[in-house]
Amino acid sequence: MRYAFLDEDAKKEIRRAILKAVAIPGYIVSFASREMPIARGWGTGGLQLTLSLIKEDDTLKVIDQGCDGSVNAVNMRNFISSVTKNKTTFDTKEATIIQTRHRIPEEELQEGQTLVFQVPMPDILETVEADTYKAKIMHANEDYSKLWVLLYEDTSLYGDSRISNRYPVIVENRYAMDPSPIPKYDTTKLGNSKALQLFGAGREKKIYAIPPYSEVKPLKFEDKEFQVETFEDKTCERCGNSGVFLDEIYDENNNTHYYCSDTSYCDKTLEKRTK
Amino acid sequence: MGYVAIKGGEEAIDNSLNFYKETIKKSEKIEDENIESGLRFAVDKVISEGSLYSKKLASTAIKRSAGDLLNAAFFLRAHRSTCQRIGIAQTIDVEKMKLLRRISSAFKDIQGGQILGPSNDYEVKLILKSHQQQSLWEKFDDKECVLDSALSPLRKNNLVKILPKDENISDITRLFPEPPYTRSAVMQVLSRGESGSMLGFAYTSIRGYGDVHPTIGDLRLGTCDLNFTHPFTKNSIKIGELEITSCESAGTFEKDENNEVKLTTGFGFCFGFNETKAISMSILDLSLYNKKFSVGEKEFASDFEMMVHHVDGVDSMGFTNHFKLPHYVTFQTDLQILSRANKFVKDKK
Repeated sequence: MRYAFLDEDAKKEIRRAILKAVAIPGYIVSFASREMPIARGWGTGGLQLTLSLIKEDDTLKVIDQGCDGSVNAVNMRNFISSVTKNKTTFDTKEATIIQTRHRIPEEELQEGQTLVFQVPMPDILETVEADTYKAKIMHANEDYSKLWVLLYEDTSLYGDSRISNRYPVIVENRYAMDPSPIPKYDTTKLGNSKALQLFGAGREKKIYAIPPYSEVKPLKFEDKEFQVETFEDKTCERCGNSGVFLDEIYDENNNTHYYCSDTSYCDKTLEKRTK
Repeated sequence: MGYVAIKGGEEAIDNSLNFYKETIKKSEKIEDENIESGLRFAVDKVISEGSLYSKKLASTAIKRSAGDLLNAAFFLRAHRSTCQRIGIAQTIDVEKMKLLRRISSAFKDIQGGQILGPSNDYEVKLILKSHQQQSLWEKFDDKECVLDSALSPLRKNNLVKILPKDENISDITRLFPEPPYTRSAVMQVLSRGESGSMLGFAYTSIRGYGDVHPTIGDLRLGTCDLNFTHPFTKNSIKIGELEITSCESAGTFEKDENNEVKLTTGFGFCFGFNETKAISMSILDLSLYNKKFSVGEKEFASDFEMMVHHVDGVDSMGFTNHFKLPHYVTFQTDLQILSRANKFVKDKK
């Protein structure tokens, strides 16, 4: 089997789509998504991005829900390793390519790193417009009125947007973009990131990007604060971290426990403490 | 403790796969040839939805998925995308196929006659007792059985609406169609669509949510030659034969741009013998490309967005099943939003 599974034509096409996406931050680029041996909807877009980008000297990290050991992350990492033999890592700092589903790592990313998001629904306008033709015209005209109306209706009924994850963002003051189902807590990390952020949707056959140091703002009213998830005074029971995204876990006695969602960061903190 | 369990993904996957293999172990005892010859309609469904004409690989895929045909089609698609593309074969003309079966419900008698061929249409579905008397069937020679579509006399008399041909033929495996969708792209999406999804959508337009009540003009099963133009000698070379199903349905009539009233038709085509799929496709084609007069906006099957994005089995199965993946981070964000909304609504009171 050839290096990184995809044939060279497929890689070339995906790289071209990536270049276009980087050139127009937040703009959705179509590509001829290939059928992968992993099911559509299970991260085939992110997978194709990674496979078209990876070189022999890259170090790969794959996470799902913040965790390197989660079933889907393991499956992805095993598949990519089996077709590349590349070095893999759990350490965010060491990785050159990080493929993720639903989270952005806690540790700040650096220049030269690429964060690849697995995307289920690439167009944020799908929330308000099912017709992809109409949505394309709306993007072209920068017509995001339906998103604003939704935000207004939600705010008047419930005090805030009902969107809890994949919260709409505006990239470089132009395109409304779906940041993939990351928590609002992670939305704030998208802007001014030192790393290149790429988004791939395999089933929907779309690629888009946030180049490093881009401006990314959540869609919000001027007089309303953008509220992210809070864990108040809770700390990770394992490593003691606070101010990070925590997983809530219920035990047999119905007690609630909190642990870092970013498990590699948790391990790192714990290691430092015990030294 | 939950935490540890989540991190044990590697081992969990291995265990689960081994358990699964054990569960479907008996399927390994079935010979591939037995599937190919014994479960031919399963194989045909899989080559059509998997969009790869290989009965041999389809049989292996059916075995590997222990009869889960959606999964088998997925195996074929995944394999297909690793195959190198050598070129594009010559266009198949279904009027040149060697027929095994050809019926038309539009006319009592047609040129070449009604050929029932191998069909289970008139089989009485009694599972315990077969009343079919074993007897010889009339000898059938498909070599000479090449017939024009039963609708071609009408076409020759200029009574049938003809849709303009695409100047450039799309290839949906290399360029996913974007609106406005070209006809060749739409037909490709439909032809490799999931039989059940297509049947479901077609049924909406013939029951309550559309005004297609088709008459089957020409339904045919048979084989056709697959010809390829040799890249160097430029000679036409036969590289194989395909078993195919094709269906032409007639719908209602409408006025064309020259103010002439024409009969509308729909076309269905798929790999293998799958009459239900070919008929469904012809109904969807009718529904998509012709005007509506009765139920209007309530239609599903006349919406290009609805059809192009929702009939693919590999896509829809994959996404529907992805909900089994962990979603606890997003669910936790849902709960936080819910609790804030709850507080807001209570405070407002």
